[in-house]
Amino acid sequence: MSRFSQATIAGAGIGLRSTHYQDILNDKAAVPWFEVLSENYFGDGGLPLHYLEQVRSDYPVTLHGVGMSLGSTDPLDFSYLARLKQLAEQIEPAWISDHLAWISAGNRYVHDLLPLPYTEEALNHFAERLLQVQDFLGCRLLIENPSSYLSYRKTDMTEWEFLQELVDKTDCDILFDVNNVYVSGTNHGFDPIEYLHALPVGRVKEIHLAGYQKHDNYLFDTHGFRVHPPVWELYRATIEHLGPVPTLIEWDNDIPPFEKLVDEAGMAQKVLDEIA
Amino acid sequence: MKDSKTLMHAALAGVLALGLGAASNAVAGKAGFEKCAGIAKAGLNDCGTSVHACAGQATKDGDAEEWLYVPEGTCQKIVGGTLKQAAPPADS
Amino acid sequence: MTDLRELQHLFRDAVFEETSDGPALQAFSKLINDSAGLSAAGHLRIYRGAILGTLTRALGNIYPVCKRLLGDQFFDGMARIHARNTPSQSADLANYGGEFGDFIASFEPAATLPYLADVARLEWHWHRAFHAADEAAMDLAALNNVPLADTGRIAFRLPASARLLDSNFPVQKIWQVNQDDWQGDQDVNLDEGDASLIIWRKQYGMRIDELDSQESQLLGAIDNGALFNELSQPDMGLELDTLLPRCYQQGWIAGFTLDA
Repeated sequence: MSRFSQATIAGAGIGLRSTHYQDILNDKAAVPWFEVLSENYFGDGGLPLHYLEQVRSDYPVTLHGVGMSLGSTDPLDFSYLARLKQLAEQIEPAWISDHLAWISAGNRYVHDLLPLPYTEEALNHFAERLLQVQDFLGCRLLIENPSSYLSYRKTDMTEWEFLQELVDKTDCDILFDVNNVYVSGTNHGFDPIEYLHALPVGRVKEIHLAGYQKHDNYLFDTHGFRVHPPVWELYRATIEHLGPVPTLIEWDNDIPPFEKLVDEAGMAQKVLDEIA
Repeated sequence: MKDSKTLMHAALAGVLALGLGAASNAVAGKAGFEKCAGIAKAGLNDCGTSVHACAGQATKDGDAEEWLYVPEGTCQKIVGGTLKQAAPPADS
Repeated sequence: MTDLRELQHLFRDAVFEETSDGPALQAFSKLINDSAGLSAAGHLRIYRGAILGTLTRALGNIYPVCKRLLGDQFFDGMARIHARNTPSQSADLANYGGEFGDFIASFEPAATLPYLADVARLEWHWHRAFHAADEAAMDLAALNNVPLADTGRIAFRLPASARLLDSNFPVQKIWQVNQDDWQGDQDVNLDEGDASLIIWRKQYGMRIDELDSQESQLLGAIDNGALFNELSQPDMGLELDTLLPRCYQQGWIAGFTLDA
């Protein structure tokens, strides 16, 4: 499915973070795969790429981006895409993913994944750009559902219907973030199970797990905690429904020692093993 | 005073005499500072996938509040320089 | 496409406008739902907090010495103002923050710290050098093969990572005593003097080197594109026969091209 690599991604992997390079390389950590934040390796050289090359030589990797801004009405940034393509050719990820979101308006980037209104207009816009990007990169992308903290009055469909349509129109795959669905479902009052059952089985190629933070009337997707019990429960239901999809532990705020991530990935692996 | 050509040739000869690899050798007696800082430098884009941990706690939300802060860090250990005070910005 | 474009531009304006109940936020609120716990405006404020928080935190990561000098409250408040007023124009957050030094120079509450803008410029150069291209050794055989008649057309170049900084203040000292691993006391006397610095990366080691006046003049001229012939003119006053080999040996001269 990808022209960059035939590497097999299976089991519970971990998001690569700079604080853990030494743990991974010195201890030859028993982790099946790592996910790499694409934009962190957009520099021309230096230590980040040096370490990434080393990690890459020992483990299969995937590239996960936040910068494609597929939902934006700004023109596609082809210098960004060219850099991404160059990185992909260098490190040969099993696949590349980005988000069902937009991050810039009038060439001002917010560095946060902003939600789209789920309208026909937005769907056609997103699909057209995704097709262009898949064509440019020469591979199918995985599109991830975001956490969101607002919903628009004008909508034509649900987020899961939007994703279904997107798959139909672009032949893309899905990165299903279980934590995000739980967060958004709580924030907007929809049932994550309904979302799960609407997903095109076989199109979900990767799952994300992370910890949210609870605030008064809201959940925040901070990636700063262990995966919470209701998300584990939803994850189990997800694997029962979709089969043993490769799963990733993400942690971005107050990043803990590497062992804690290995431990968290072990819990996901246990679910995968039990249901497989 | 050496003429320009002589100077260039002497300079080039000096460089070539150092030979390949000379640049990676330690050079004694130079004031400088080297640091292998890379390991600890965080990837800045990590946070793009998640909400900042302080979000929502920002009740003031960065309104155009009055500037109430005074520098309270290690700048208090910096003294002198009275003759070098920069002129205040023209519009202040 | 107008509807989606208008919505996105309004969202952006509501995030960056000065107050959290300004006209863009009020207009944007009409497009989004209230929920049990939060008003429409409350939903948008979550994004305001997250976005300004992310940009402020990024500036704190790029400018840790400024942050330490000022304390968290002063720094974060100042960074937040900068983040609101200065758009990020790249999807890669590592490209954001290059104008912070100039902003500090004009930020009145920081005017009592005249050295601060140069400390910020030093930190920006450090940040960029960290991500800059790796260098191969200069091709001395090719240099040796330059025909005598063409010598004057040699254009030397600095390492891709290198940036020069002149300051009226001992900013390298300020930087050094505010590193996590600094053992001594943190006192600095600004009368210790001015600084001519090159900030660069030697393989994977980050360096800040002090330059004497000849080195500074030579590297500055090279950085401005001066050809060898120009560097060797008597009125430049450069002792090139010893200066050039010395700068090469330090690693400050990384390559050359022949000017057409």
